[in-house]
Amino acid sequence: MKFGQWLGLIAVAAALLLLWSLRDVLIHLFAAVVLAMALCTVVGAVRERLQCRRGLALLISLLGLALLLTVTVAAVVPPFVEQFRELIQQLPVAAAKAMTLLRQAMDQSSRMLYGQEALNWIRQTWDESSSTGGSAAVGQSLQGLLGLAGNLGSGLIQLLFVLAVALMIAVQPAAYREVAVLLAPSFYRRRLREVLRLCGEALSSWMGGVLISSLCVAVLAGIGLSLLGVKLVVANALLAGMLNIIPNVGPTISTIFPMSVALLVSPWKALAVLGLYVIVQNLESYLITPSVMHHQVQLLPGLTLTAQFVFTVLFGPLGLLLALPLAVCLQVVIREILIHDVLDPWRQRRLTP
Amino acid sequence: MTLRGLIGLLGLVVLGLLAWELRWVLLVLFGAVVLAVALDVPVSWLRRISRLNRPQALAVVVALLVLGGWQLGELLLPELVEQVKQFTQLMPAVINRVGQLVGGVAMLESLEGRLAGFATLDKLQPLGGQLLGFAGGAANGVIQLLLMGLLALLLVLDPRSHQRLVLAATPAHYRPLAGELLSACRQALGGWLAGMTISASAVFLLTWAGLAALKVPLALLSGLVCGLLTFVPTIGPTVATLLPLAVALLVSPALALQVLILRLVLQNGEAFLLTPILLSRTVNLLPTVALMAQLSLGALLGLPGVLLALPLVVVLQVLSQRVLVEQIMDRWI
Repeated sequence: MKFGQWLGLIAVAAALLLLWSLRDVLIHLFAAVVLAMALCTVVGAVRERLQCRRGLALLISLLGLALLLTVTVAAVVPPFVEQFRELIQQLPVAAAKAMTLLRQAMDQSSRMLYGQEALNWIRQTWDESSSTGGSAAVGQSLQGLLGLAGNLGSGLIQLLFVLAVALMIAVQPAAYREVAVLLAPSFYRRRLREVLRLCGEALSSWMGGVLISSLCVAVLAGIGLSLLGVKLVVANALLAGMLNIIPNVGPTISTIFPMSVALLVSPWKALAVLGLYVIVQNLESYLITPSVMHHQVQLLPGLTLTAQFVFTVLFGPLGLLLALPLAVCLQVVIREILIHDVLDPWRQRRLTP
Repeated sequence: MTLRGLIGLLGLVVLGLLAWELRWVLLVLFGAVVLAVALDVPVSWLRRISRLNRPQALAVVVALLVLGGWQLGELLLPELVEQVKQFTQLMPAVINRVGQLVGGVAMLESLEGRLAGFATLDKLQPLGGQLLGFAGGAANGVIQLLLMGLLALLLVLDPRSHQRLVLAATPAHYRPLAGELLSACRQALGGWLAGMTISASAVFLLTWAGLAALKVPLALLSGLVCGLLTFVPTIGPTVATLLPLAVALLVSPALALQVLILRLVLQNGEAFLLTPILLSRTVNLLPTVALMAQLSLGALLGLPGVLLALPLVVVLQVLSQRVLVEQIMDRWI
C-alpha cells in the first residue's frame, strides 16, 4: 500500500470515530429523513392527482395534514385524555389486585408444598419489604418527576428539531440527494442515486403498510373491547394502534392497560382481553401485514427482533422507535451495495480466469 | 512501504491526536481567524481607496471601531444602564408572573411547594460553589476572548507571512492548490461575515423600531441582543426572542403576543428573504446543513462550538467542495 492509501484509510477511520461520537445527532437526522420521506410520498400523491407544481402540492399536503391533525386532536384527544387519566388512576388499584391474586396463589401453592410455617415466614418478609419500601418511594418518585420534566423539555426540543429538519428536507429533497451523491466516488454516483431511490421507495411503501395495519389493529381492538364490555375503549384502541408501529415490544405494552382495567372487574375478563389481543396480533402479523406490505419490504420476524435489540443498544429509546425503518433501509443498502455490487462480482472474477 | 512513509504516517496520527486534545485552543485560534477576516475586509477596502500601508489602515479601522463604539456607548449607555437596572428589578416579577400562570395547573402547585421546601440553607452551599465556578468560568472566557482579539490583531497586521507559513507546511506539488484554497476560504468567510453584519444590523434596527413602536420597555437592550444573536442562525433568534417576550409578558399577555408576532415576522423575513439575497453571490448553504452543524459541534465542543459553527461550516464547505469532491471523488473513475 502506498502512503496516500494509508492516509485515506486513517482519514476514514477518524471519520467513523467522529460519526460514532455523533450517533445521537445522526439518529435524529434519520428520524427527520423518515418524516420527510413520508411527507414526500404524500406530496407525490397529491401532485399526481392534481397535476400541479411541487410547491403548491407541498403547501396543499401540509395544509391537509394540519387540518387532519387538528380534526383528529379535537375529536379524539379530550375523551382520550379523560380516559387516560382514569386509566392511570386505576393502575395502582389493578396492581394491588394483581398482587393479592398472586399472593393467594403463592399461599396456596406453598401450603400445599411446605405447610403452614413457610406461609407465615413468607407473609412476614413480604410485609416488611412492602412497609420499608413505602417511605423511600416518595423521595424517589419526586426525583423521578423532576427528571421527567427535564426529559420532557429536551424531548420537546428534539421533536421540534426533527420536525424543522424534516420540513427543510421536504421542501427541496433533490438538492440534499445531490449533495449526498457528490460525496461518493464519481464511478459510483449513478448507482448510488439508484440505491437512494430504492431506499426511498422501500421506506414509503413500508410506511403505507404500517399505517394500514395500525388502523386495522386499532379498529379490531376497539370492536373486541367494546364486545367484551371493557371500559375505556377509545383510549385502549388508540394505544394499541399507535404502539403497533413498534413490533414485538409495542403490542406487549399495549396489552397491559386493558388487562389491568379488566382485572378490576374480574380475573376472567382479563384473560379474555389477553386472548383478544393475542388473536388480533396474530391476525395482524400473519394476515394483514403480508397482504398489505410489498414483498421486498417484508422483514423476517427474527431479523426484526434482532434489529430492535441492536438499535436500542446503539441509539437508546429513539433507536427502538426507529428500528424498523432503519432495518428496511439497511436491508436495501445491504442487498444492493454489499450483495449486488461487492459480493456477486467475486464469484464471476474467480470463474473467469 | 518504506520506513520514511511509516514515520510520516505515525507523525500524522500523533499530530491528529494532539489536535484533538488541543481542540479548545484550536477553537480560539479559529475564532481569531474569523475576527481577523472580519477586520481584514474594511482594512483592505480602506487600502484600496487610499494610499495607506497596512498598519496605518489597521490603526485607522481599529480607531474608528473604538470611536464608533464609544460614541454609541455614550449615546446609549445611560439608557442601557437604566434599562439593565430596570431589568434586574423586573426579573423576579417576571418569574413570579410565569409562576402564577403555570401555577394555575393544579398538579404543579404541590411541586412548587416542595421546590420551595428544597431551597433551604443547606442547599445554598453548593449554589455558592457553583457561583464561584461560574465566576471562574467567566474570567476564563474573558481571558480567552482577549487572547482571541490579540491574535486577530496580529494576524491582520501581517496576513501574508502567516499565509506563507501555512503554505510551507504543505507538500510542494500541492502548494498552488493550497494557496487557492486559502484565498477561497477567505473569500467565503469574508462574504458570509459581511452579509451577516448587514442582516444583523437590519434586524437590530427593525426590532428596536418595532419594540419602541409597541412601547415595550427595554426596547434598546432587546434589539441589541436580537441583532447580536442573529450571527447564530436558527438557535440564536429563538433564544433572543425570549427577552422581549418576558418583558412584554410583564405588561400584558396581549402585548407579549404582539411582540411574538413581530419577532416571528422579522426573523422569518431575515432568514428567508434578506440572508439568501445577501449571501447568494458568495456562500450557498442548505438550511439543514447549518442546523445539523450547530447540533454536532454543540455535542462535540459545547457552547463555543455552537457560536462558531456557521463560520466553521462555511470554511468546511469550501474545503470539502474543493478537496473531497473535486480532487478525490471526481477523479476516482
